[in-house]
Amino acid sequence: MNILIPHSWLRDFLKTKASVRQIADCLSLAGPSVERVHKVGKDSVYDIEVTSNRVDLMSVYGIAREAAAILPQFGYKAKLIKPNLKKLKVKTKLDFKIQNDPSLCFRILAVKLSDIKLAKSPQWMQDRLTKVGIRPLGNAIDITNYVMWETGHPVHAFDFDRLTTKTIHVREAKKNEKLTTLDNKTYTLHGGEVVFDNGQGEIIDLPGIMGTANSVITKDTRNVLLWIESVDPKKIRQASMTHGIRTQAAVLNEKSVDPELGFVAILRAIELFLEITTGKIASELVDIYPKKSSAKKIHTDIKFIETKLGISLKKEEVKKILERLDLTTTWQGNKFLVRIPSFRANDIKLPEDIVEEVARIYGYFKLPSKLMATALPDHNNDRFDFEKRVKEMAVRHGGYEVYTLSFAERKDVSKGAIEIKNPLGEDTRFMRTSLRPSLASAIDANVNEKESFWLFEMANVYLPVSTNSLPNEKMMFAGIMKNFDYREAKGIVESILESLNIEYQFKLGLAKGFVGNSLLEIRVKNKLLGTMGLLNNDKGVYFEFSMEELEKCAVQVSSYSLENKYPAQIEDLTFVLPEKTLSGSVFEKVIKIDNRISRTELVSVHENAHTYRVWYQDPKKTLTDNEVKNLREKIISSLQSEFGVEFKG
Amino acid sequence: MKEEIVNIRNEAVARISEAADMSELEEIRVSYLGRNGKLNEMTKQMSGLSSESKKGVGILINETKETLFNILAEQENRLKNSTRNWFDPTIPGIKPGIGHLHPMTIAIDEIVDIFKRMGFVRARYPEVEWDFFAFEALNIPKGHPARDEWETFFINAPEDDILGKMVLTPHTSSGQVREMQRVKPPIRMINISKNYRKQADATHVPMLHQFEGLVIDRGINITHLKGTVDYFVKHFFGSNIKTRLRPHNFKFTEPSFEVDISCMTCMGSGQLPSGGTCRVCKEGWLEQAGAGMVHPNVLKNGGINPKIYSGFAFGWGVERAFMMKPGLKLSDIRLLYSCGLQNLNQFI
Repeated sequence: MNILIPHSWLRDFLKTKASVRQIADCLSLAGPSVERVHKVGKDSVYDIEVTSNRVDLMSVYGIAREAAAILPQFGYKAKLIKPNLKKLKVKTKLDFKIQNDPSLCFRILAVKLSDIKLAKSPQWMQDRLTKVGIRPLGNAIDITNYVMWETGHPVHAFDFDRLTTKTIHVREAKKNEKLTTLDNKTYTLHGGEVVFDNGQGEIIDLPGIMGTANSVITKDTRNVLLWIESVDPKKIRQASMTHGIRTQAAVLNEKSVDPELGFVAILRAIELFLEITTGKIASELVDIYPKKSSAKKIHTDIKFIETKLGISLKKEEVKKILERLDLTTTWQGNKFLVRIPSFRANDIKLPEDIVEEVARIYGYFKLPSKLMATALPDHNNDRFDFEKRVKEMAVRHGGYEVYTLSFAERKDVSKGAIEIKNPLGEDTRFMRTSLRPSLASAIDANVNEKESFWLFEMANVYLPVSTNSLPNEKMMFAGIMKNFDYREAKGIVESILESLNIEYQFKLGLAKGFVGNSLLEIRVKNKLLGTMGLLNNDKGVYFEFSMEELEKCAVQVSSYSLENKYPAQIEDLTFVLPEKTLSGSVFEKVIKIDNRISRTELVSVHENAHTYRVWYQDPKKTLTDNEVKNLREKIISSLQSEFGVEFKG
Repeated sequence: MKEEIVNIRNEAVARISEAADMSELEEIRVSYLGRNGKLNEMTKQMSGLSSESKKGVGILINETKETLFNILAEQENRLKNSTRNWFDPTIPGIKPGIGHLHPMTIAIDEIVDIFKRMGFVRARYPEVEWDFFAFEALNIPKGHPARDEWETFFINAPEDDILGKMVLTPHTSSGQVREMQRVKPPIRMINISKNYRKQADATHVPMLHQFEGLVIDRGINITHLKGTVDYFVKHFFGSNIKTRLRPHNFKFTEPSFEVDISCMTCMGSGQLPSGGTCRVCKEGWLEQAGAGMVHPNVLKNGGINPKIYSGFAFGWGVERAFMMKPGLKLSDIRLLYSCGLQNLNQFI
């Protein structure tokens, strides 16, 4: 969360000669980050990011207190100016019944102010509110906003006369109860929200979040019940989030505003009401505070801090840093006790928190940079190295790598796919079970491309295991090839597999989405590594492999074999295949006929005439013409008997 | 005899210059310069001459041969450049298709390489994850406002009694406790994987990549975190880039920091040379990562004794780091996931 702090307002509480720039830089390095400084007229406004644990910094006073602790560490003198607020002397009883539930509300402060004159706020107040992004609405409302910004505690003002029953009963809402907030929006409650009841079942406030239309100040208000409460932050958060009412009050209250601060805030509000609205104090200050929290204490020692920081520290320095943050210390040798002020009670709980306070004020920038000199862990990076190798092979074969989103729509996933409860849209409702739909749409993004190209992706698919276990996240390598001749596309797949030293076979397969009879399974022995085929609708040739299976079958280092010193004899043989012969099986047969046939390639195809180039080679000697002739005849007879081919020459 | 040689030369020169094609040229070459050509005939006839005239005639024959060679070569070139032997080396080439890796892969490889040099081991943990690892074990209890910072996607699946809801992990920090459960210290993990957050605009995509460093051992302190982050920043972004740690708050680290690097656009000044405010950074600094010393509760949740061991962790967006690379000028993060070739071809 961010807060805007005008420099002029900050100066009400901070005495220093440090410039705006210096204050901004010091705060960023040792405290909350000043993200920007805006010039507004002659004033500067700090835009400060405050982390959710430091709600005590969500005010002008809070930032002043922090700056006063930080600036001296950078050599700038700084002093916090504490407000001098007068206690109330009025003893008149408040004629009002407050029925609290201490488990829901930790503190209530209330006072009646009479004879209020509603008008515009004075210019200085309007200016300050405008600078922090709040629209001035009139003196009474402006005062409550002003005090919230200055002290960090939300303040509420009821119209005393509109609270006709003169009762506030703190309770949890029942399901389906309704209330209308001051901006005239009606909400149906879920039950469990903390509300104020008028004692007759009517809700007259949504405390800590927003006032209701039936009790807030109107243009006719004369008497005000000035009110502060500390509702359970968890309750505030739940109600504010589920109903989407994100007021500044809710944002603060859900982060545990210090109940002690309530006292300061109400005194300051009274002071401003008297000054600006010329109202009178018409009652004593009621303070219902059943469980005043006692100050927390943390034991730690200087050695512990030194170990975490990696430097040695002087006791005096640690003491000085902590005390500037209102963390008082009691020492016993190197050990010490830290007393935590109420405004840090929710933030500082462990000795590690004390380390943080010391370290940040000391200055992270002053710590040296070192590398660990401890033992190295065992390494096991094999699968990542293999992934890199496969991607590099794909790139060498001309592939363009893409990254697509892991989501898919219903029609593109298999049964039981992981479904997102709160998706961004229907097309991203599921976790994909295949990379195919993503790559097919990648092809659609390039419909006008005339040249051949291919895309690949390596990413997880999410396969359901059972309804109450995490899915199997399976790493896949998939590609899609467009405008390629089928043989060229298939050659890429074959060549990638060969470059990984995988000895694979193709088998005919079946799958939806592919042109009939076009699907091939790629297997090693009986293990399925992947599939490839022609996608319907002319989307191109698609292939996919399981990375796990690929890695199991790939040979990392292929052993070197010496060059054969006896040259091969090479010749082309042409066969005419009968209609509808699967040529792959004919081709694969040739090399299996004799181990002196060292290599074969399909050189050309003309109608049904396939020309094979055959290498005859013996590792031990040069083959004679007669031996080659015998081999050739063996090929011809074998293919004729098995496939009924006709030898053309 | 000299006169005869001069006549042969003149005759040959005339015939060469009139030759119309290569075969005629070859014929001429053979008849004058061949083994039995006219000039060699003259050489054979030299035997009858006095040694004085031999010398003169020999020089003349050699000069003539050289002249004819040169003229032949010239005429040969002339013929080649004419119609039938025309060759145009100025025609544009046909480029082979070369593939390329996606910048995300390149960035991840670079990140891994840098951390490997510091002895880190790469890991990858589930993207569909239990609430326990994504939040609870990281000291972020249910209903805590800190949970708002991650716009989490929830999975339509029954809640587990112990591990809670199934979610898409919004950060790689979910790998911290998983790594602690996998191995005992020393731990130097660099966990890189996909994360998901419910957000989509020019600066956000619902899917992002993070790299998470986790170091746990005896005596690990803030100076080690600083050293590791500095080392990475200088090697990834450049040796002139400065790093700063700013106090921050994360439930799973104590103390916690944000890591900023100096802005390359305005050179860390926050002001552009033109006088305007730098829009890329905040006052000269770019937010890069969240970091901190591992919270003792998180160590306990990972089965590690915080009295003996300490550690640091950081989580960093790959996209965020990559997009800050000097000179890249990639303003819209969505372009990284665009599959149009026009876009992809820029990534070479």
